[in-house]
Amino acid sequence: MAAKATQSSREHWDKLIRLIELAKKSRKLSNTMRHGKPSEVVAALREQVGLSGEEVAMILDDLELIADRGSVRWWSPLG
Amino acid sequence: MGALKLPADPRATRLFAEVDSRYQTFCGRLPESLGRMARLRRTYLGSPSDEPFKGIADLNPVLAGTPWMFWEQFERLDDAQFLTIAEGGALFVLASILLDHIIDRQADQPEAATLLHQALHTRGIECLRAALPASSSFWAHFERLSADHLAGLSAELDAQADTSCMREGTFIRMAHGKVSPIVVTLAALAEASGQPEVLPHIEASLKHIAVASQLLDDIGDWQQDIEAGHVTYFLTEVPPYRNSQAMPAHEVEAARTAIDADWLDVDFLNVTLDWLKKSVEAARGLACPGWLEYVEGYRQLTDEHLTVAVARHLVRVLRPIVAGSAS
Repeated sequence: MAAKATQSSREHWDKLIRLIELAKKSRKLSNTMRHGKPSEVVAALREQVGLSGEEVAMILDDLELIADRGSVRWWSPLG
Repeated sequence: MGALKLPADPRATRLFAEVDSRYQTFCGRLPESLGRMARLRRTYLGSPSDEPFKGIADLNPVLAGTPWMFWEQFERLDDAQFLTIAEGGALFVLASILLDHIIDRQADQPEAATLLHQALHTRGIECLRAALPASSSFWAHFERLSADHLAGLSAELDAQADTSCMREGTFIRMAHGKVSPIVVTLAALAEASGQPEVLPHIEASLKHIAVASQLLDDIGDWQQDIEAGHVTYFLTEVPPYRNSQAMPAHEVEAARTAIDADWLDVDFLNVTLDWLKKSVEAARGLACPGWLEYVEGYRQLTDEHLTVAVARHLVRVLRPIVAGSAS
């Protein structure tokens, strides 16, 4: 049971990372996320990232933890 | 991140310490009050306390540490010539930092800062003259880079007075101008070591990282810039500030809404990553592992900023969708 839960968490984590990387690089997904209707967003996540609506709800807390990383300092190379 | 990593060669460490010692000698020869000012950290780094300036190790590595970041390329120079150029370059760059502070009105004693600028600038050029004869083609680069520096500072003054002057081309010219005094040191090292062919690559790499650096500053500090009424290229791309001649008063929330709507921070961070990649590409054929590691470190840091920014926007978009489907 625990092993199954771990495997499931791992899959969700992988999808979360895939979502972030695609949103960084894919203009198509990024545009839908920026300007799409909710139904278009849900469809894009299913088609392009393989995330179901249920899975989106499950990854949201982890996504929020990444968004709140306050430790990344704004160093600049010539600052 | 941010500290100079000296090459493993003990000679590099010895020469680095010697340049710091020469800086102390320079300070000792100044009139007393200017000498005191030159030994304070806040004179160059803007820290509010009376902490002593620990020398060039206290500065961002790119400012005066480039002779060591490109060590493998220039270690063939003998001690005397390497040191004279590194000292001259460091003083010349310190002078440019003071000039920035005077122009930005950040210098706490602008009159004294002007005098110290003059002393640093004069002694810096004196060192470069001692290292390179008048017939050296270095001096043509020196003139060109000094003109770029002046043009960049002048463009910045114009943009602060009239926001509509801040266009992409102006922004790039400003960033290139700021890095020009640093390129002077590397031009001197390239000419003195008989490798003029490396300069265009090094100069391009530095100019690209200068643009990336300014973008990172502007994206990270946009709220403080609004509060200080400081015009940046990033802000002129945000609707409340777009196409206006003067900076509108504090529109932090309107700017945040505009940045969120269009993910402007994400777009600018992607542009920053492109400039950092160009910086690495320009220097890839050179013997400069320290420099490449430094730029790569900033590429990774910028990618981390991008991850955080994208995650923040995704949460903002997805949270209401999930809440809507659950109700």
